[in-house]
Amino acid sequence: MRILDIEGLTVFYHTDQGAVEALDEVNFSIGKGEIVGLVGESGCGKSTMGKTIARVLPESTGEIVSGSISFQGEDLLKLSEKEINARVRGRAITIIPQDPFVSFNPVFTIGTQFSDILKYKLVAGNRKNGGRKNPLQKLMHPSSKELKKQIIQMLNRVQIPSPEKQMYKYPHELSGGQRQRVMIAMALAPQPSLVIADEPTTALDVTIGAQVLELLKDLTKQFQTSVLFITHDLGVAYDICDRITVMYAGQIMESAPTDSFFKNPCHPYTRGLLDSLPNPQGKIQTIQGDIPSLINPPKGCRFHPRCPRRVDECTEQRPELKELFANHIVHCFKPFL
Amino acid sequence: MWLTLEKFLKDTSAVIGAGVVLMLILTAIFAPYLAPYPEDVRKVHPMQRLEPPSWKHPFGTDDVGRDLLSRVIFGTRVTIIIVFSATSISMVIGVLMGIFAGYYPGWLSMAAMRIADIFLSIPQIILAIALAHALGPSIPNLILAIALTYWPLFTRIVYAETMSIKGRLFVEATLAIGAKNFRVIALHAFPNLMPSIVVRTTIGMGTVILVAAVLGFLGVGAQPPTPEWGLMVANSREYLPDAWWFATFPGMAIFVVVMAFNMFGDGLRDIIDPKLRRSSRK
Amino acid sequence: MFRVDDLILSLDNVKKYFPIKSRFLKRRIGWIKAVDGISFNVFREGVMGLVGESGCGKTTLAKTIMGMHQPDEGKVIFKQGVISKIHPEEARKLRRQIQYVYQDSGASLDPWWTIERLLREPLVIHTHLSDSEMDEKVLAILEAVGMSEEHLNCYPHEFSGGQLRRLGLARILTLNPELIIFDEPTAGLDVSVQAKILELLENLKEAFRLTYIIISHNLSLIRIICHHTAVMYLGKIVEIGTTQRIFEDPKHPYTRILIDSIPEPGRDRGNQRLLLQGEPPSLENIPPGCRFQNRCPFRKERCEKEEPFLKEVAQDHMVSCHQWIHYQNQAP
Repeated sequence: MRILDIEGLTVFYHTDQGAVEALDEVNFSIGKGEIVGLVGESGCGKSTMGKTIARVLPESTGEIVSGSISFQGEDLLKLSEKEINARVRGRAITIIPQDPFVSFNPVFTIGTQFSDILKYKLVAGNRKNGGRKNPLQKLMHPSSKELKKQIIQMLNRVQIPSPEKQMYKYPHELSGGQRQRVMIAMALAPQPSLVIADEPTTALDVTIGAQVLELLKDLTKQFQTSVLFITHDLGVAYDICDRITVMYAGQIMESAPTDSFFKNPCHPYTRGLLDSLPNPQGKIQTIQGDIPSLINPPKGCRFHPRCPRRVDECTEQRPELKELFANHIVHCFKPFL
Repeated sequence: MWLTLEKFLKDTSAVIGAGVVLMLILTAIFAPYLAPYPEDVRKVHPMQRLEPPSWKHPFGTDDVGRDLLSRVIFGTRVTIIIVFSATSISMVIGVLMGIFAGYYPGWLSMAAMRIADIFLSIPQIILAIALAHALGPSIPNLILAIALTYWPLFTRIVYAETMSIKGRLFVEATLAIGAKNFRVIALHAFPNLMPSIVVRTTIGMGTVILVAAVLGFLGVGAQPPTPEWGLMVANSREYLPDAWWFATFPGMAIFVVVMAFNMFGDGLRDIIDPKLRRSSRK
Repeated sequence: MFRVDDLILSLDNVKKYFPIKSRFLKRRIGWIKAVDGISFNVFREGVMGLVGESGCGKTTLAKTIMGMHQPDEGKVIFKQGVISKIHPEEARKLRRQIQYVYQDSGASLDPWWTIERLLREPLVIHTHLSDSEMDEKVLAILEAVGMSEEHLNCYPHEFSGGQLRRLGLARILTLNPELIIFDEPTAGLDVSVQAKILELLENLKEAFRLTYIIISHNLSLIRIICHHTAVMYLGKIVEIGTTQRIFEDPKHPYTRILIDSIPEPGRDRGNQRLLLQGEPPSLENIPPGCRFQNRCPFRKERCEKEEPFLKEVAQDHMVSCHQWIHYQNQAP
């Protein structure tokens, strides 16, 4: 069952130098309880995707040119900002940002920030639109005791030691790993259907990142929450994702269940990416050429200037979808088989 | 370079400000040619006193019959001299102290900053008045008095910026490749300070003009017969409201020039940012 | 493979402490023991990897080697001469030979200077070459890092991350250093760009006969490019040896956990990996005994009382742990 269905999404950013075509007719979907990895290098459009779904594109420059995002039966792009804010953002769809330090308000304790979310997002929303059946509904008029209890409970779930004390700390007093855990708690508190995690472990040390990943995996599986996991690190994606989608220069190149993705990469770009991963045996292999500018992107398949398997069609039209094996799809005229 | 100019030209108020400042400078340079009665800087014509604006005297005449337009025009010279000298002196003192205090922290630097604080704790105008009075009313002393009240503002800003620049990675990197401190300060820290200094300077110019005018008005700055605008406004007081032109035109001149410097300064601040520097390649 | 007289750098029990001052009276109430007794050797044209997470002291160590910090104890010996506590003027001259590449190359370049000026600066400071000689050198280096003449007139902010790394490198290479310390050379770069930078580093090493010390928490990177590896934790080395040995047969629990934490595509996802629990103790409050005890799955009583020291457990392989021999092949 799909909870998110994106069709034909095209997004531009308008700059002094021209329009940056960040996303080009993207089709993408996430199933219930699925952890889908959106993988790609800088500038491929993965962050833009996340921002578009949450409707947090910069107002002055971002433009959603076309497409639809179907979520729980509604087209998110057709809703007004007010409706999105009231019902969707922070409730049904939450975000775990990359750098937890910047995302916290430095002058409030984490307890205060957490209770803000509980008070305003959970209570108000549920009252108005009959929201989702949420056991926290009894927080209609939350007393601070109730709130405190809930916060401690959630901090416990993300394995923060002595939460009664920690909730009175300021963000800078916690370590990076702890901050990210609190972020996860805050993102999961409203029991969302979809969590957008934007490079959540990039800013953390390797061992701490591994812990955070395990935690995220456990908690989301427990509640069947879907996760859009944005990352540039294939290794991390391998660890946590059920399915991996690769993007390049605003286009989707390949999408497959994780094992199939790594065992049988079909798209030349995917192969190139996997080959350039450090491995102890072979030499370091690079993909020749550079990422194209998105102001006047290449026609057809945007990878064609660097593709060793390019044919004429690649320069003229976008390759259509090919489903090669179970659930393993590729946008390519000459995929590896 | 040209891209920076382009961006500046898009900012209307900045352009207007720049234009007026330019006009001011040109007027000052060509004053003898522009003024209809250049001799009126000194010569008096008591028979023509307090004549309202006419074709002969577009701004009217003052209390001793001198053509006001000419005096206002010549006033630009006085203004420019005062503004640029006072600002330069205070800039030199202020920036040097600020850089030194920021780059070499220690008790000496603390002492310097405390001295700056002392100066800053007294309202600028009052301090200027006191100094000008103590030094004796004349234009050079006026310039000195203003400079002495203005330098701490530079020092404050430069001190903070220098400390912040000192902590930046490229300073550490330059030291790491073996540069001496002097080189770092002169060639690296200073250019990075330029934006703040320039902005502070241009904004400051507006204030300096005002202060000079006030001091002239109070009689501790320029002395008659110098055609200083503040002095003119002071002299015009007793003839108000009948001889309205006498106060209005010099006053307007002050207003326009101060606004112009402020707008220009704002515009400069908006464009001065190293990220806007572009190389000449495509 | 490496002969002892090919030693280019040698650290002997180097310690660097930072005083903690109380807020009011600025009295010293304790020490942050950032680097607490580090010794190792680096051979000419070798590549030494320093592995560790944030707070382990690797950056402080690098700066101490460079001379940007003076060690509180111990010696740094470069080409048979002690360089640790020398006169600042001599230290400054030494900077020609030992260079440090910053992690954030973009920030290490003055935004107001053109690339040409930036690349020339080291030459202007240390040499008396003529203008044309400097131009020649700058051009040569620029090409060696894979950039070209047209980039000379540009400003730092006009370049991408990967290009900035190259420029940062170029600036340092103009002085023909012998030893280069890299701080996280590939952090923040895309995978494909990382691969290119690695390639570049290998080529430069060959071309200029350089010796590298590479600081990174990216173990996959270390494995490819380093001959020797030292694993640091809270100011001490916990394991050191040839890279091959360390990766094939890690003895210290921390090393084992680090290696296990690397997400590696292709590894069987099913099995349990060793995961680190908890957080490192703060550097201000290091407990007695082994520093790793509160997070170690193999901790025993001895570990809480007695601090272990580096012992040779195989050829070219030393470990600082009381328990390594008991738990070699076991999962916790």
